Amino acid sequence: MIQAFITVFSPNVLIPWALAMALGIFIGAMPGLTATMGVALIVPLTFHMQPIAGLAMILGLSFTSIFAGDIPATFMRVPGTPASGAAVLDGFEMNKKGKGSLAIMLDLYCSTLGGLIGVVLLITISPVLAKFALQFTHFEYFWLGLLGLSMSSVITKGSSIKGLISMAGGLLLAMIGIDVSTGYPRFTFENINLISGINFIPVMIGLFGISQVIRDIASASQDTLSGAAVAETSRASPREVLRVMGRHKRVIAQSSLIGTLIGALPGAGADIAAWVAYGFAKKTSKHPELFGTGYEEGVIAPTTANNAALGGTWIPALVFGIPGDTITAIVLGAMLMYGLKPGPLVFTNNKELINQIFAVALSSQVFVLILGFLGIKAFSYFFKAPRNVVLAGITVFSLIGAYAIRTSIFDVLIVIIFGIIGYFMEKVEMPLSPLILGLVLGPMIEDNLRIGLIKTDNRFLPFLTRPISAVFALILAVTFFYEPIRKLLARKHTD
Amino acid sequence: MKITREHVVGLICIAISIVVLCITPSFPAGQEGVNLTGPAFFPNVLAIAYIILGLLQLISAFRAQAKAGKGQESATKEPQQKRRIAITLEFIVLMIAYIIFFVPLGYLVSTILFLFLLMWLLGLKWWKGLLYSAIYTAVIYLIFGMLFTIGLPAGILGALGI
Repeated sequence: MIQAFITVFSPNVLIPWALAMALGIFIGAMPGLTATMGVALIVPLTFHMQPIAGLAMILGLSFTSIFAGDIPATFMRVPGTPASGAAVLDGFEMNKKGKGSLAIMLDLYCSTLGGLIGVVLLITISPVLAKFALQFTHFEYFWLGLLGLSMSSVITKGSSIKGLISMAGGLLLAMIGIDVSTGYPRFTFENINLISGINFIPVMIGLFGISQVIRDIASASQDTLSGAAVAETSRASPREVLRVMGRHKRVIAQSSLIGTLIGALPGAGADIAAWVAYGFAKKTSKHPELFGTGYEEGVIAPTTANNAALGGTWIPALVFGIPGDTITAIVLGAMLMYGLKPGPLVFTNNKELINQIFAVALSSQVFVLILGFLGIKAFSYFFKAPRNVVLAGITVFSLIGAYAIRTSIFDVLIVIIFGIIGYFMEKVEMPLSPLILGLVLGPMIEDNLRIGLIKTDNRFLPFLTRPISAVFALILAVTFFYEPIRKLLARKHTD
Repeated sequence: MKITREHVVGLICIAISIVVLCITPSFPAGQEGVNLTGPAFFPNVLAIAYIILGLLQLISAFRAQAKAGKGQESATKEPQQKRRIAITLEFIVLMIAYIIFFVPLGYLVSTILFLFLLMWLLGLKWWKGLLYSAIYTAVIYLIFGMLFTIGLPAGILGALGI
């Protein structure tokens, strides 16, 4: 472990890592630039480095940007990243009361603490889980893939039909390209670029980045951001912040646990963790009526949970090789590019790398504290840049970022196409992330199902009779049917 | 009866699944000896799921319409909104033009032109646009081109030997 710390603090890891974390503050604080997009943008750069440097950049950037999303959420009522959606509720109210400094400092300290707890859980739980996961075969992975998909569509807000449409669309997109089992090119329409399939990073840059730009340009409110004033606040001393945290330590502990667990569910990430932690804090609070009026617990719960979730999302990513959220979905793609095969074997074959990842994750929390503080100081300058300049920047970074993945103009075209698709999807209130998960999990589900069927002479029964498989199938059935049955029962009661 | 956005979502799903189902019969069958299911198996399953989802979406759209009643949609578009749509379309055209000219013109020329036109489109003063375009182009060139040595096309500047 000490060796791991020495490795990650060598200049060729430390410098890109620290730079990425500083960039993360900027990306997180910019509304429209999400942590996912930030990671998608830097991944092309990491292909030219040693794996641990690349992974450190991704880890560090995700921690700082998820924190920094709270900065505009608190001061401007605009969540910097989706994960800060819940931070708006009480953070902005506190700012209106002139306690913005206390709110943002609570955000910073609790993000750091939550992140730390999430990482400690990651370190302690994942090796145990990895041993368990080694017993998994095609059957279990098939179910696990489905479970990942089901989570995303069950938890996404709004119409579940649209969530499923988005997800199945992602699965269909994953079918494009050479079929692994037979070598037959599917849906390629004799286009060379399609033979290797559709790379999900340009899809993601388009869906999240370009679609946001299109939406901003299409909405009439061009000068909403340029004129936003930030309320003057009295500065909160560290002692005051710590005292407030001490008063609400139960919320911090509870939100860290919720955050990590939700992060560990495939398909649910920091944004969902923040909302659930907020809801849970409200339910278990002695003063639920104060939530939404600028209550400290309402700030603490989501900000702790979203950073704790980041550690959690790496658990399924490292242990099973399935993404815990969109960021780790990119991480898995990147790891394959580095020549690493994510999954339980990583813990035996690449033990050093795992230790280094843990070292990075732990030390990143210290950087979050330092860089976060600097970021808060500097953020007012960032928002002084005119919105149209920022939009142009997002656009050109997205396009060049996609080009840089494999110097392919076709990938840039994918970005534009999915930017337009993403715009219309959000217009009809269809969630974007299930599509990404479908695209990422599609090959895993299909290959494991078909290889499993070969083993069983095309019988489906063995998928249900193996003990772990059976449990997964059961969980899947429960998650799938719980909501409709609950609704049905509720309707009967009201009728 | 008016077709709404919600209906269109359902119809698109069904259209996609029909296209998929038209293509998959041309796929080779799986190998009998090793019990390999064919490459068409999974796309077919998905296409059928898509038809079902499309129908469910249509049903929920009709239900929502019945609930909402009729006549709340204002058909007249304000000139402001038309202008916004025009700008959005111009933005998309500009991006496509950018990738068409990216290789022939080269990274430096095409990017600075693209950014300048984009910021001008978004209502920035021309000299500010020029300044920011130059800064962005230089920063990206430094990060992507110099630091990470990604091959950005040289284009006409390369042809001139610069």
